[in-house]
Amino acid sequence: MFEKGTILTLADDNEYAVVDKYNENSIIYVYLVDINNNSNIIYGKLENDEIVELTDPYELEKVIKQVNINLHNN
Amino acid sequence: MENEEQKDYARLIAAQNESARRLKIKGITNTLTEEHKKKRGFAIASGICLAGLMVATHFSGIDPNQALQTEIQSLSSFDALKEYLGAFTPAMWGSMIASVASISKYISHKKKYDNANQEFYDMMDNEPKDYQDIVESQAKKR
Repeated sequence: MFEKGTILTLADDNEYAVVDKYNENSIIYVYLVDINNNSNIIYGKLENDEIVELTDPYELEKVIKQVNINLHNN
Repeated sequence: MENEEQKDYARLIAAQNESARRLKIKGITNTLTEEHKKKRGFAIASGICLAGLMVATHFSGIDPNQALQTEIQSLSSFDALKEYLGAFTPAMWGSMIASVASISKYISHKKKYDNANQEFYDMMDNEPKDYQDIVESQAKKR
């Protein structure tokens, strides 16, 4: 559907760069950064054609760690 | 100071009570203009840096400014990022540190809140007989 480096336009009309995307237990996690406001970031998961922001603190911590490993090792 | 703390706490509660952002994908852009490529480059450089800062400060408790210096130094060795990192202004770094602090606070607060919530519901599930020992012990003291 989309890959790392793609730009997504979401329902809030902001454009986000897909900085990281990976699959874990059939859940696709994404890390997005707004290209016009870099402090607007989303750690989320893909559900159908929607990005759902993570709110569970334990899941959020797990994803933050994994994203950092992915980004700093590639 | 106390007022600031109250405001800070109110912001955390508001963030927690906000529904998770659920955003439909309206468009996917694969063919990028030069402007888009430049903005994407900045976003990716900033995102990588923010992710590193997040881990260093939230999980290892490193001072944000020190973590930022280390992160910039390590990412400067990547040719693809060098030009973008060099163009960041102090205000942009400041805003990144603020974002990291805000996510970290949210996580800590949400954990504590969820625990307190769970304890409350566990307590509400108790039957009056669960307190019988306590009541009897208190009664004996009178």
